[in-house]
Amino acid sequence: MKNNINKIKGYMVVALVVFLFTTSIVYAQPVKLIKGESFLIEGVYYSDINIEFSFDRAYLQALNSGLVFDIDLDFLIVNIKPWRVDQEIGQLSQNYTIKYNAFTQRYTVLNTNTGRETSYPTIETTLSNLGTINKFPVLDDSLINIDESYQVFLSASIKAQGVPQWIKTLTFWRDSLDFQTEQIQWPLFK
Amino acid sequence: MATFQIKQKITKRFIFLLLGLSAFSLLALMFASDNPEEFNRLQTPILMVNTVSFFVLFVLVAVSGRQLVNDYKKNKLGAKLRLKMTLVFGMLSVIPIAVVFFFATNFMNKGIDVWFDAEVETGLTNALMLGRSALDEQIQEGLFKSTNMSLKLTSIEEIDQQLHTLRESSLALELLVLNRELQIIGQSTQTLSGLNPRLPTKAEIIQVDSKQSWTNLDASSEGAYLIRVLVPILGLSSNEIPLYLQSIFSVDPALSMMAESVEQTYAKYGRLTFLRIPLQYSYMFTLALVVLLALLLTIYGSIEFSKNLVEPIESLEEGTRSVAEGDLDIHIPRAGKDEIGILVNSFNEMVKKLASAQTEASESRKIIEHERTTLQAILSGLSAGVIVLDERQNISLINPAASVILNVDTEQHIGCNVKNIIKTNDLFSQFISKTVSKIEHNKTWREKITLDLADSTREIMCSYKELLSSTNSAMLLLVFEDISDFLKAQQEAAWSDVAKHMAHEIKNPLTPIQLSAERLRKRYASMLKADDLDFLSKATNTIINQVELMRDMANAFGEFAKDPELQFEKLDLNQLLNEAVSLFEDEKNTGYFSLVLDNKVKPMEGDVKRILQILNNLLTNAVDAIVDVQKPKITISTKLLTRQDRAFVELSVMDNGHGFNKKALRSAFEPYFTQKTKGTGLGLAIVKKLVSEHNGWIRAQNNPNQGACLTITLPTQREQTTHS
Repeated sequence: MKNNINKIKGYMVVALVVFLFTTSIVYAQPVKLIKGESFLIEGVYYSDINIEFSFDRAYLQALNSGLVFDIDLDFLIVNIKPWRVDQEIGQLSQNYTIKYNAFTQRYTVLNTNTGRETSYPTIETTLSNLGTINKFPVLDDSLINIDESYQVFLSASIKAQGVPQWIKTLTFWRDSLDFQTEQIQWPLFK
Repeated sequence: MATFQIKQKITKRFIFLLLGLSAFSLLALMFASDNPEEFNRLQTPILMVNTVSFFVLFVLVAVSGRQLVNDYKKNKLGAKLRLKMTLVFGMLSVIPIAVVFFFATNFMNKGIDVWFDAEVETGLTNALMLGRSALDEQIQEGLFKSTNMSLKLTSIEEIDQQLHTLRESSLALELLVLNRELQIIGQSTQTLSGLNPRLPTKAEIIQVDSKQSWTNLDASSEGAYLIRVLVPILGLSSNEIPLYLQSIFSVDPALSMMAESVEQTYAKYGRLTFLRIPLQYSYMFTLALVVLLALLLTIYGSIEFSKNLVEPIESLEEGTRSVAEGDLDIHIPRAGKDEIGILVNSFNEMVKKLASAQTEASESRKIIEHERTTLQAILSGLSAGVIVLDERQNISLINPAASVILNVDTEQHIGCNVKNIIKTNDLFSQFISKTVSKIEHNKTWREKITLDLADSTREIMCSYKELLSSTNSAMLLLVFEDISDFLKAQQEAAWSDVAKHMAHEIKNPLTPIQLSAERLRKRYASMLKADDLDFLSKATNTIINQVELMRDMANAFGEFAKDPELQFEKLDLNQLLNEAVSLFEDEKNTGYFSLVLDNKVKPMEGDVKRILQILNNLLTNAVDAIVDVQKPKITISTKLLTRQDRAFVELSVMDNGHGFNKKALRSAFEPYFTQKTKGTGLGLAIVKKLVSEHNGWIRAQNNPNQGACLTITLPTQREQTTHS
C-alpha cells in the first residue's frame, strides 16, 4: 500500500517535470531581452536596449481583434557591495501600449511616459521599432560613486488590457497573454 | 462531550456564515453584472468566496457522509432511515439541478453565440469599409491639394512664407518640405493644432519615388483622424536632389467622430469575439460552481435534516437501554413540539417518576437494612438463641447464641426449609422437629424441650410467637435458652441443702445411740449368761458399727454440702499421682496400676488436699470397678495440652472393669447416684465439684473395648478472676 503511494507520488513528480519542461519549449516567449548597455554623456547615464518581440498567432489575433497590450520595462539600479547587502539606488519604468486601429489599418505605439504616439503600417516594423531603444536616460552621474560598482537590472512584461482578471482566473488552463521576462543585468559603467 | 457540542455549534455557525456570504456574493455578482467594471472588480473575490464555500461544504458533506455510512455498517439504530432519507433527498435534488444546469448552459451558450452572430460581424466590417470609403474622398482631395501646392512651389527662397500661404489657402494643418535624407527644408504648422510633427520614414519616401505620391490615414490619441500626404516637389528638384512636400489635413470632425465610433465598436466586438470562448468557460464555471454549491448544500441539508429527525429516536433508544440497565439519571434533550417531542417529554417524565420511586425504595431499603443491622446486633448480644422463620418455614435468621446452643452452622442453614433440616439427625434437627409440630398448631407457646445427646441431655426452654412483618407476611419467632446447667446447678444446690440438713440431723443422735449401746453392753455384761452376753455383744457391736457407718455417711454429706476454701499452691501432679498410687499398692493390689506420665507436665497451681481427694476418689472407684475382673488393670496417664494459649493438664484414669451403663453414663456426676452396692453416690459428684472449683472439667466415657475412663482437665494456672 505504502509502495503504491510512493509510486504514484513518483509518477506525479515526473509528470510535473515533463509538463513544465514541454511548456517551456512549446510556448515561445513573446518578449525577450537581448542585451543592454550603459554609457555616460554629459553627466547622465544612458542605456541602449535591444528587445526581441516575437508575437505568435495568439498575440497577433488578440491584437488584431482589438485588444491593447501594455509593455512595461522596469529598470533597477543597484549599488553592488561585496560582503554587504546591496543598495538600491533607483528604479524607473518605461511603459508602452500597442494597439491596432482597424480603421487606419495601422499599429499605434503610445509611450505613456512621454505621451508620444507613433503608428506603423505593419506589426514587424512596429515591433522592430519598439525593440530598439536608444539613449534611454537612466541615472544622473551625481547620484553614484565612481569608486563603487553598479548594476542595471531590467525586466520586461507584456499584459493584455481588457481581459478581466476573473476570466484569466477561470481560464487558467488556457494560454495566457500575460508574460514576464526574466531579469537581465549589465554594469552601469566598466 | 460538552466541548464537542460547542465545536459542532461553532462549525455550524461558520458554515452558515460562509453560505450566507456565498449567497450574498452571488447576489452582488448578479446585480454587478449590469456594470462591467464593477463586475470585473467583484468577480474574482466573489468566486474565491464561493470556491472556499464549495470546498468547505464538500469536506462537510464528505465527513457527514462517511459518518453516515459507518453508522449504517455498524447497524446503528436509525442509520438505515437516515441513509435512505439522505439518498432520497439527494436524488430528488440532483435530478432537477442537473436538468436546470443542462438547460441553463445550453441557453447561455446559445445566448453568447447570438452575440457573435456572423451578420453582426459583417455589418461592422461593412460599416468600417463604408467609413474608409467616405474618408477616401477626403484623402483624394488632400492628395489633389498637395499635388497642386507642390506645383506652386518653384523657388526655395522664402519657402516658409510660401508654405504658410499655401497652408492657409489649403486649410492644411501642416506643410513640410524635406529632402531624401529627411532634412527639413521648410515648414508651416497650424499653431493650435497640437500636432506632433512626424517625419516620413525612408520607406515612405521610397514609395513616393515609385508611385509619385503616398497617402496615409492616421489616428491621434485624442481620437481625431489625420490625412498625411507625401508628394515630390518637381519644380524645386535640382541637381537630381529631390525634395518632398508632406501635407497633413484634418478629417471633418463629424466624420472623424463617426469613424472613431465605428472603429471602437469594431475593436470592442473584436475583443469580445476573442474572449468568447473564455467567457463561455467562465460563465459555465460560475454556473457549475453555483449548481454544485446548491447541490452540496442540499445534500448536507438532507443529511442534517434526517439526522435531526432521527436523533430523538436514537436518544430514546439509548435512554430506554440505559433505563433497562438501571441508569435513571438520564434526560433526553427536548426535540421540538411535534409528536416526537411529546414522546421525548413523556419518556423524560416517566424516567423522572421511576427515579423518584427508586430513590424512595432505596431509602426504605436503607432504613430496613439499618433496622436489620440493629436487630442483628441486638440478637448477637443476646445469650438466648433466636431463630426466625418466614411464612413458608424457611429459616431467615439464626443468631450466634442459637448456633452455639444447638451447635449449628448459621450460614449453612439460612434460607433452608425446616422440613429439609428435620431429615438430618443432629441437635439442631431434633430441636426443629420438636418445635415445628408445635408451631403448626399454636401461634404462641412456651415449653421446655429435652434434647438427647449420646452421653447427656440438654434442656431447652423455648418460646414461640407468630408475628407480622412490615410487609404483612407472617414471621415465626423462636426464642430459646439452654437451661441444662441452670437445672443442674439448681439440682446440686438442692442436694447440697438436703445433704447439709441430713448431716446435721443424722450426726446429732448418733453419739447418744453409740454411747447408749456401749453403756448397755457394759451394764449387762456381768449379769448375763455367756449365750446372752454373746448376743448382746453382737447386737451392740452392730449398733456401734452402723452408727459409725452413718457417721461416715453424714460426714460425706457434710463434705459434699461444704463450700471448700481452696488453698492454691504449686504442686507436681505427677508426683502426687505416684504417692497416691503407692498408697493403693498393697499386697492385694500389686501390679494393677500402670502410670503413663508426661514429663512435660510441670508444677501447676492447685489445692494439694483437694487434688489428693480427687485422686483418692478416682482411684477408689477404679479399684472397686476391677474387683471381679480376671486381669484387672488401671492405667493412669497425664498429658500437657494447650488451648487458646493456655496450658492444661489432662489426667485420665482408665480401668478394664464393667464400665458405665447408659443411665450411669448420663448421671455419673449426679449426687446419690451409684452403680456400687456400697457407697454414698457422692464420690464423683464431689470430684466434679472440686474439679469445677479448680476451673477444670471432667468427663466420663466407656473404653472402646472394656472398662470406663474418667478424664479430668485442669488449668496449670489459676484465672485472675478466680483468684480475685
